[in-house]
Amino acid sequence: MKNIEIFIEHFITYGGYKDYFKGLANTAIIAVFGLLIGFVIGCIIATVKIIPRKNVFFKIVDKIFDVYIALFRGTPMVVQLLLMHFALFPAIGLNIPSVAEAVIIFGLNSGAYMAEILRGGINAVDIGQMEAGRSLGFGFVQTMIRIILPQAIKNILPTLGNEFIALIKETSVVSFIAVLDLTKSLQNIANSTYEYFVPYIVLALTYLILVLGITALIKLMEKRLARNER
Amino acid sequence: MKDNQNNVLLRVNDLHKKFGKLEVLQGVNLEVNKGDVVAIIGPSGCGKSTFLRCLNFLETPNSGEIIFNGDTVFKNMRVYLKRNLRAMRAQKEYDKELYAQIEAEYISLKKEEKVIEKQMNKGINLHRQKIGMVFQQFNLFPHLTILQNITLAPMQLKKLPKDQANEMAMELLKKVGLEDKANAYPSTLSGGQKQRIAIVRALAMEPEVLLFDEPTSALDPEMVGEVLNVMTELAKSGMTMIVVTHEMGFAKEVANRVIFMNDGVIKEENSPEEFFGNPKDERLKEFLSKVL
Repeated sequence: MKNIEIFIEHFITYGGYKDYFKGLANTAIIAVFGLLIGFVIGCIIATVKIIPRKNVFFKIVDKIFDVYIALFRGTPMVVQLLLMHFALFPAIGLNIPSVAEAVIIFGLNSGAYMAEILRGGINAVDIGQMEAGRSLGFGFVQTMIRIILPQAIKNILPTLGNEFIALIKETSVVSFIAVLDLTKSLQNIANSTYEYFVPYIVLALTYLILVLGITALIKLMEKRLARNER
Repeated sequence: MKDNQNNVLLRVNDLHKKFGKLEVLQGVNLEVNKGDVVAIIGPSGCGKSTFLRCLNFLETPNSGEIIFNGDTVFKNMRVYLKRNLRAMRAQKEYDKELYAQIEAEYISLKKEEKVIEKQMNKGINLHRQKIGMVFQQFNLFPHLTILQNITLAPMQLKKLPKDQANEMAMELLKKVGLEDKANAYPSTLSGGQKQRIAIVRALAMEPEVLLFDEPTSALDPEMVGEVLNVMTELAKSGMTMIVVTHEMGFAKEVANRVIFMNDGVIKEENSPEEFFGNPKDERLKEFLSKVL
């Protein structure tokens, strides 16, 4: 019981909760905005990848996207954080808060995975849908946005949920670039009290609750999107 | 004949289409007047569907000419000149003067055709708005309600206000007897109902011609009638229609021209009475004896 008392003392009396909630907010910001950026990047790449007859411009763009996907899927998240934060961003003179940096890097990382997920989802939509859209007079991009993507997203929603969950958990490494996140906030309490058991249990429980919450949210969305099925 | 000229909605000259080495269309010629109901029949694989899909550029033809409402929407005739030139060059001795003449012709034709191609690259969506298409597999949008299926294109492409679009959609739905399905999703409909909705969706864009690609082939026999009834009503209202079909009854009763396609060309074209009563092409006789 003594270690719980120590934890509570640090958490409440010495203001540990401030860091905890700030860390929680940062974790959420990085995961949510990372996911959004990744989604937009993924949509763009997947759309370019399925253009049927590409001209030279799109062929080059396609190759660039291939390199991008290879780089971001082929290296660990931590390495990407370190490389960009300490080498690339200073080199191009980018001077923004570490949280914003983390959002960008997580967005780029998740975009590489999302591109492939979305491509699979788009390919699973019947080709007749594209033809029907085009025959009504919609352009390629319009058909994509109004007709194909809504159906593709419904197909891949469970996988997107997986991606979001993975992203939340991966944010636990952002303390490498001096971002105060959930993990770092509880690590700080553990380090200053030399008492590890309770803080890390709380840490694990917090992630678990976050993930379970998201799982429930995705289930709800799936149900809503399934209303056009019998 | 001038009057007749003005009446021509669609003219197709010598249309060719290849898939790899397979030449599916081998020179199709067709003229469709406003208000015509043209039924195209023929054995499977003869190029009926491909021909239809070339008309709204779901497939790009390789060569030939398509004139829609007086506008040339596709032209590639230079390939023949190119072929001539190549054949001439292959001979040891050829008429240099004639060669130069053809070459000049080729270059000017190429210029003209490139301009048309460029215009069509920009204008293709507008062209498709004027040509409605009904598919064998219906291709309704499953994530939208029936009403949204119908109003999506008019609202987005013609900028029709929502209440007007809904009003028009409901009117069309009444005509096909499905107004009670307006807020249902496509998956709750039967095949015949889906196809009637698909026809309404195409009609909502007020096209100048409707293309039907085997509209009843994916339906239960029981449901064929309800779709054909809608199409018959449409034909009576003066809609120009080109229908690829296996429904000989429809071709006989509703169409005013029937076309038999085989091996990528039109083998026979006639009024329904002549076509079914007195077929001339040998392959057509054989085909009719099998299907009638």
